[in-house]
Amino acid sequence: MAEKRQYLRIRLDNMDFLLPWTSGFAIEKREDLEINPEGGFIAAWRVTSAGHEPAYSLDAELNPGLRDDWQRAVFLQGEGRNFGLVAEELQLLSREEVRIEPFRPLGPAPISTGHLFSGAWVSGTRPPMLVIEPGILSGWLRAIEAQA
Amino acid sequence: MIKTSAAVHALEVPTDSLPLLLPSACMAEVVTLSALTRVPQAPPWMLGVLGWRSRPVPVFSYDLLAGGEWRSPGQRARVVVLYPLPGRKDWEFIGLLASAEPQSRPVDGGMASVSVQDTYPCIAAGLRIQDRIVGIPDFTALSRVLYPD
Repeated sequence: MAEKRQYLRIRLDNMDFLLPWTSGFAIEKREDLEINPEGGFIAAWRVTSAGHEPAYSLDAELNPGLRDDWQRAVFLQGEGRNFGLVAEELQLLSREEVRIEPFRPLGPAPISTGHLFSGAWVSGTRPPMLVIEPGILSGWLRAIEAQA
Repeated sequence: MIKTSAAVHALEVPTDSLPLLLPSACMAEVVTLSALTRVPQAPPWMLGVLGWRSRPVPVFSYDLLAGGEWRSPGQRARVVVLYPLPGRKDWEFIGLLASAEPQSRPVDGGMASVSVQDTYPCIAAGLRIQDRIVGIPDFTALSRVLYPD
């Protein structure tokens, strides 16, 4: 059954993904963030009264990717924490525009809590766009941090 | 020898390793290979996602699943869209990469069985059709590989 809600298109390393948009998410400009001078997996931090929230830099495989071609970051909530993703492009899509169908990747999940994607948008002849699960992505990022 | 009382219709799916023989009833459609969306952190044999009838369909390569080397699909390559495997949800169609257009084959009791199960994964039995050996997939084993979680 197709689902109607609002989605954010996010471009990472020339690949488009979708994020389910909820009220707790926020888009921040680069100049409003504290840039990590060393670059790397954590590209910047959002400074809040609660502390520093990391904004990660990922490539199209969702591996750490060293990039400087970003102007904005989206901050999400997942696994009880706030974290961000720096992006080449961010676009909030209307509910009427997007029709998400359920999708399950084949093969083992990359982490024990599940697969990174739960749905996809198929529109015309364009290749499908995958929907990222924010909670699983948070776990994935923690797993990468733990390996570093 | 395979013991069947009447011929059944099957589809021979050409691959670069072992051609697969599937019951025709498993197949939803054969489509040309169009642009796939790569799925991050997926195993190499999962080639990507195909948009089919407004649905996202994961496409896999049996050749890579069987440990073969990757060869770029040619212009004759097709995707065989299969109905969901037993026990899966009704939207879980899967795509199997074929190196060329699959061919319809009547299968009857006169065909010699060949043991290929030890050489190729997820194969229940092999059959000799003229000068070729084809594998009949073991869908239970295939399901365990495609959906291990």
